[in-house]
Amino acid sequence: MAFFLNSNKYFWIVLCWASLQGFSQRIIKLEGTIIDSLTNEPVRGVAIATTADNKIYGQISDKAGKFALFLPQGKHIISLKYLGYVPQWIYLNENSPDQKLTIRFQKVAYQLEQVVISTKGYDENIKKPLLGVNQINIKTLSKIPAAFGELDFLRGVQMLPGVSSVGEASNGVNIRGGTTDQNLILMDDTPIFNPTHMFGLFSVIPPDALNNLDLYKGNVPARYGGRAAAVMDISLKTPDLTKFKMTGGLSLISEKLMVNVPVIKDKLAFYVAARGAFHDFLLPIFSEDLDSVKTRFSEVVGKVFWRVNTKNTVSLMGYWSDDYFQTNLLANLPNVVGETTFFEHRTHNYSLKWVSLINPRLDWQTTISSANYDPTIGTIETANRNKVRLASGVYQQQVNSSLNYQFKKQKWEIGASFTRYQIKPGDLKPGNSASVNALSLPSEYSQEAAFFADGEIAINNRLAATFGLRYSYYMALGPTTLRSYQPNEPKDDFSVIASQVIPKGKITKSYGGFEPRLGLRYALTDELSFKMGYNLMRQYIQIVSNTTTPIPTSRWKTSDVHIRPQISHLITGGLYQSLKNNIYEFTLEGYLRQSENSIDYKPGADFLLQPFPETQLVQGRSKAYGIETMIAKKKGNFTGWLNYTYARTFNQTYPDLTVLEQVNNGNWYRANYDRPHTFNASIELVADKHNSFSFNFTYSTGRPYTEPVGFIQYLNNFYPYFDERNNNRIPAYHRLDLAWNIKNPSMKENKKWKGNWAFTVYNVYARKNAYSVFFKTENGAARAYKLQIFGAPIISLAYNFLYE
Amino acid sequence: MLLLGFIWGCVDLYKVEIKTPKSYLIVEGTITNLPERQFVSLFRTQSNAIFKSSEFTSTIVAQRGSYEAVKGANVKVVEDGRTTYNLTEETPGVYVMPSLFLGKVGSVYQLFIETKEGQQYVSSLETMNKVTPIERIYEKFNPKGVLDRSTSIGQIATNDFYVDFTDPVNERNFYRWSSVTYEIQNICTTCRGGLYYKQATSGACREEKLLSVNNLFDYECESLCWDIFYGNSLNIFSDVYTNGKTQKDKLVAQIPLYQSNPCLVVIRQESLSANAYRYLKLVQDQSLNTGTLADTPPAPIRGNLDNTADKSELVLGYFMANMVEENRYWLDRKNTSGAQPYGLFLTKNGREAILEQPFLYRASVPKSICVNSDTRTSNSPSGWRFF
Repeated sequence: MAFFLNSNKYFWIVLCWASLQGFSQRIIKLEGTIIDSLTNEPVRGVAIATTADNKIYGQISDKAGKFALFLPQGKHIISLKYLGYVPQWIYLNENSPDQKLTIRFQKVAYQLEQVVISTKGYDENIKKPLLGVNQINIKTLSKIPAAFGELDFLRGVQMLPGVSSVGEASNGVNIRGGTTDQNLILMDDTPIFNPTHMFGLFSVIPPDALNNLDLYKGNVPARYGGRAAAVMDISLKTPDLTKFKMTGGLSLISEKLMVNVPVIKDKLAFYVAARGAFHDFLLPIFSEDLDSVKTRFSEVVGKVFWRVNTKNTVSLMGYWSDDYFQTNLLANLPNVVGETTFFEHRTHNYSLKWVSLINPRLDWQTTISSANYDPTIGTIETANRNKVRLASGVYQQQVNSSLNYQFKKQKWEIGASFTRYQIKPGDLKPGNSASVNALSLPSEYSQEAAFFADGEIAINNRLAATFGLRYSYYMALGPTTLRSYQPNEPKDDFSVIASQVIPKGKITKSYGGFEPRLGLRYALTDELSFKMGYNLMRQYIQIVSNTTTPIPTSRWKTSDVHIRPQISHLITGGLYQSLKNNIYEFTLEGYLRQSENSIDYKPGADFLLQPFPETQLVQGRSKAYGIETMIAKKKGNFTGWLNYTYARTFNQTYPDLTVLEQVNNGNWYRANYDRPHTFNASIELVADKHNSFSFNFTYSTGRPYTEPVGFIQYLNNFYPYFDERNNNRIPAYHRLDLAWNIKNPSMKENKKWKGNWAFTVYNVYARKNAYSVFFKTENGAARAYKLQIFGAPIISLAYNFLYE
Repeated sequence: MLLLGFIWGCVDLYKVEIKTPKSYLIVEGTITNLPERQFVSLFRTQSNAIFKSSEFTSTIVAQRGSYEAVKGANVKVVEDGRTTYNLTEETPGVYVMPSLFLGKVGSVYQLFIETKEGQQYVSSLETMNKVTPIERIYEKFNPKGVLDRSTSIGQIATNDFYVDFTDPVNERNFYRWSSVTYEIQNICTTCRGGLYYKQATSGACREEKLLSVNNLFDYECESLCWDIFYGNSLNIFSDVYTNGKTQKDKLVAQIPLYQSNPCLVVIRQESLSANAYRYLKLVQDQSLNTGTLADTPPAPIRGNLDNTADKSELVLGYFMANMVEENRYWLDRKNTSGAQPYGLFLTKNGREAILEQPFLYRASVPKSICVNSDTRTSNSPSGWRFF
């Protein structure tokens, strides 16, 4: 009730009314009553305003919520605004008739959350005992300014506290001090082994099919297992059983299209969503040097949903993705004479899910899934242009079945899963080459069985708890050749004492154990609660790669006699404060994480076609701790969040290793992604019904890198030499992005075809962020360089449409 | 597709100042099967040495006195555990094998060092493996060439050398290629602020008060003179994927087009031991194959020498025993363009030679002696063609 309180009459605040009006023009009369959407009470004091012919037409609603405007014939955008309420707009054009409207005004506090990125579980944030759960939905993701206008879940999650990466070309994210492969990325229950296209630039999920992303970085329910740090559970949209729908879009990078078809109304429907990027033929126009760069990717997801009857549903999902990347910017396939290096990688995942409602309190869900990832690195031979390929593969099949039971104040889930892994470590295919031999490493087989139970109990109004317990049992299987090594000596070709051939199916080593997951919530007041949790997670499959970020062809390895599974303990605690009817939310979380058997590498480790990877790596431990704070405004036309994280991650090789195998003499040293300070801001401003603006700002400490300790003249050249790992840091990273989203610019409502434009500028102030600092020896001299991925602002325009 | 222009083009120079925390011993030495000067060099980096990017070119340079020759050490090489060869210190820190020494294929060599202070270092046993001969060698003119910052022009055209060879079956083989180029040089001495004077067998610049301190005079060689350039690429190969196969079109050297005169290029195909290959592969990964999207983070590289009293001491460098197959190639440079006859001096110095004119300061101007060194010789190299 800030202004014009004292009047019961219409207030005319028309300026310049005296100026000439066209007499031939019709006057449009707009009358209305504004009522509260919940109470139906009239709302007094709403400012109704528009401009026409350089004049402002305006009015304030009266005690009865009434107003009337007389406007010259023409296009008008009339805004209706009042503090504490969600603003609205009315659109008129030349042909609009006089109208009398009833406008329901909604209090901001009652509004559904705009920022759907929140620390919520399934329930109210402060009431749920789960900590460190972030939910991001597609609406939020699509508003985050993205490089090249391509919606990207991996860049989206990096705006959350506790999520970082080694840089723009990183092939995955680091969550609370975990390596990229310690995150389980699930897409409709199938694991994604390589989450990015084009070496980290784009993520692999078709944007139109993406529905929701749950990020578990604190309490992880016991139904998830197999990775030591975090879970990103991505759900795809369910096909719409009622209407035909088509969405699509165009950007500088890609074209995409999704078609939803109901086959039998309310019973059977499917959709197909595809995205393709094939624009690399344009590259040489921009620079001759790019002539040798060839890159394209595509992905297709199809999903069928069948409502068998009121109690049973079946859904079938298939996902295929394909990448080709040719560059001289990545290390080539060594020891094959050739000029150009290329990478090909392919994923095909399938899942079949059956949900059966036994009674209103009990349902039974069963999923059968298969995930297949086939990366290849290759070289093109100079003379005959023959392609020599080194192919590898990771294959996982899983059956998962669980029962869910819902009491009044309790919820239980029990289930079991069985997983088979097959890893094809390397298969050298010479093609037509006369110079290269065919070589193949035998596949590695293993399996894992798990049982789990999750419970959620509200003990009273203040106290609630979640209990999760998982038991996993892992078996490494033959056929394999098993070496044993001299104890107390480095594992290498010289310390082998015996080599044994194990027949097919025989268990060579098993590991297992309980994985407790606990969460407690105590509500101090209705708006303030305290939570704490403990997690233990076991990981049996990992990437073994000694590069700063795994490349798509990095080798996956399941645990065996020599490589023990990774075990991670995580303790978290947090305070959650909700303010002003849940418009604002403040969270403070702290964590301490300790991992056993994390993987580290001997200097010069090489895993390409290495039959005994244990000779290349050492195991150790890792510790990580951090404090994450976040304030979010979740409702209104101005929404967004700010967060600050202080986080550290250190590694140490086990002290029982020999001096030669230890990294940094066995002392704790900074992990590659140890970035102590991170600040993120993400803001969205809704200007009107059609226009919104979003801004992102991010800052983080530069990541560690290894700087030489000196240089030597050696073999007619000048070479750096190194001593301690990660002894310095690259410069700090910061960046501002903005996006202007224009929704349905034709402003015609109820059209079948709706178009949206997204104009984005990534890296607005052209910060030349270093991705890496490296040293190069060139003709007798050495120089230091920094590599930048995006050294300039990237301006892009994308068009998306919806037809229904 | 503007993006890739941004993505792949962005490499900037980065300035560093690096302080070496401790002192390291650097050992470089290779035993070969050829009748040539064979040596082991011993230097020590100073602790607190500073390496800094230069202001304009960002070249990392060492401060004066960063390296110190290890003088007066007792250095010997033992062959097959029986025959001991004592090395003699030729210049400070450089110890040479007896002049008649020839390494033998299949023999095992080990290096022993005892410094004046009594520290003892010993290398692992290095076997001289056989290397297969070069079957075919050819070269192509490459007008794009390489970046050679030792010249005044930077980017310089090259003649690229390719070889074919057949890898032997039933054995693991590791290769290294290196090159030595002999270029004819007609300017032998440059005097700054002085004039060149010659005695019977030696010559030197002497300060001349009539000249400004920055005055330059260049003196022609009195005899034929060759500058020697050692290729500085690190080119190695393993037959892990190619055992027993013929390898074709392997690029082994890029010889800069310093001048249009023909030159003699010695291409050396050498064997390496498995560990020497691993060592050089690491050196390569850490200093040559860098700057990719996914570099291997550098780590200390251990050579094959250990301090017998303290195994954790990091000794830099590697003692190798390599069999060498040489190919002496007469590069006539008829396929090149853009270079000048006798242009070596100009290409290297960025200016024409300024000869002292007779009767200006003295009646006759002497020609300069071509002083033999690592990088210059007045003895015609074997394989040189006289017209």
